Amino acid sequence: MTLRRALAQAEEIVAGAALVVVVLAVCWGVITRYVTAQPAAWAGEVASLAFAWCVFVGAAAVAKRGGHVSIDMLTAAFPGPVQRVIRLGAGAVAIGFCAVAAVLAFRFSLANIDNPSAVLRLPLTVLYFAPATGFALMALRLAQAMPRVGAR
Amino acid sequence: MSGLTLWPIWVLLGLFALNVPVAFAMGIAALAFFVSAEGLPLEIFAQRIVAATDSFPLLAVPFFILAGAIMNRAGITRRLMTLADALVGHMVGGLAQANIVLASLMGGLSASANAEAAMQAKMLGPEMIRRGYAPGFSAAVIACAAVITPIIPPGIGLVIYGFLADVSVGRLFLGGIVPGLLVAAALMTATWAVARQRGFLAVRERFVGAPALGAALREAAWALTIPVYILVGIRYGIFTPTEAGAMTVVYALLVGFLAHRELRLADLPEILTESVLATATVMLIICAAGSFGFYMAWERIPPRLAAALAAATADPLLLLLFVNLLLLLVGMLIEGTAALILLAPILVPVAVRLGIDPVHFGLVMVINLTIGGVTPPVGTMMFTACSILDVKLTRFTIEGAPLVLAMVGALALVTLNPQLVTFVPNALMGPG
Repeated sequence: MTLRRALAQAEEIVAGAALVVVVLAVCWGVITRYVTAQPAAWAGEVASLAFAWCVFVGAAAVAKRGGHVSIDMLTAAFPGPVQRVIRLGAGAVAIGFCAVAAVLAFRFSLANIDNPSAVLRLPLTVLYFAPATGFALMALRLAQAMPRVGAR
Repeated sequence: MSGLTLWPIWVLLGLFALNVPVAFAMGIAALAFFVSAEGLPLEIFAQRIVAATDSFPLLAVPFFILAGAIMNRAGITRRLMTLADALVGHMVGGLAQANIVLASLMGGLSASANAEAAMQAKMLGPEMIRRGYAPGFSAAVIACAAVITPIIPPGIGLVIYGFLADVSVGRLFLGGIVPGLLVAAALMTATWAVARQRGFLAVRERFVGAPALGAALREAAWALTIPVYILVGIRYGIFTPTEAGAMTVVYALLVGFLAHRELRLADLPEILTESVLATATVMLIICAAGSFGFYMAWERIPPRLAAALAAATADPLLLLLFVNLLLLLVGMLIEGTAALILLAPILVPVAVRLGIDPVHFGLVMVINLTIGGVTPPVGTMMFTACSILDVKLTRFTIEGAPLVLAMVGALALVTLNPQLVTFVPNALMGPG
């Protein structure tokens, strides 16, 4: 796979890998509970950490495909040019929100650098970095899609 | 209600109307509230938006989506189709009936109505049209049959409701069995009537016979054990619904690679991508709802609304009727899962206050909003089936009307008889 293709599919690769980790971690939790005397307490924590990465980075993959659920009932009633303006406006609002959310999540993630998780004692930065990355990528992918949204 | 801040709700509805994606609209309305409210640190917004991913029960959502995607490529779905055809192919409108039976069998495995509608439209739709079924009716049967899938356990809607209403997912799963079968029976009856009237023939003249049915059962045995061990495992506390989901993923992989030998390693990236997209779409809305939910809790809107509604009526039946009408209306306009995430936190406190069993209420909500997926103008299963089979929405609406009416009949039956839902969980897990 060339670097360019890998970059174009970055969200799918990261979120897909995170999903595999979630499955493995939960299965490992079940197995250790029945097989060993000491169930792996870290499994649940790893699962929820990987889940956050899967959801927020995956949401950028959804944004890339224009797949986030919206209600187009009312705008569909307007004439074409008006629809186009509304679509562009809605797109700009969504990009703005994702950018602000990315900054807030990033600040929050840095603020938690000394705040360790319950079992693994990992800094919670690792967790809050997931929405920071995800919203930044969503803003990027939505912005990349804007010319297409305008042309439609 | 002095000092009650309502403008975030108007912002939310305004953004909805302007076609801003549901998840972003909720995030924006919540963020605006956080910015405007004094003494609320913005950090809470970031913290609330991640909070839902920390829920162990919600992990069942990606697991059952993933398991369904694997099963479609592991030859499990095709074997269940052979079984469904052997069971009902000789009935009038045999292929349509087989479609409904397949959705019910898949109900025990798959959890997502949209995925089910897409799969059946691709697998069965062209075949139905080739055998003389009207395209509009074919699309309608496929989309309506998909309503059964998330009601018969496991179901993603039930997992999400369990999370939002703080109800045992195990009880919800068990409670879905009878209502799911009822919806299937209603659909089969309506299909039978339509097929008779319009001359949609059986696949074959008479029953395939016991040996052929036995062979189909043996072939499908690997798949048919899945719902059994999920329900037994949950009932006896061997694993939680979430763990059952993870085990189902592993089991489906083993069946696909080792027993059926139809799954290839090269299929996995596509399966993972498909699952990631479906999971992220739903979960981002849940995450955003977490931040908007903070606003609603801050302003104590659910309890206030519960008090207001309880003052209006003390009759649980009247409330259920009202909720059903409201949800049928909302389900026509808003995608079902999004509507569930928006409304469950508001409606459940009201229902509980009037003494309605939350498990019963959950099934009513999930059945109702899943039916919303096949009612125009907005319905995801309707869109899926119509776009794959190239059917106009008007044709779908006309030809699907008897099927939708039959399902609403089943919904009414479930609404009026709570024991249809609560009997199984109460008998197996003790009164809740």
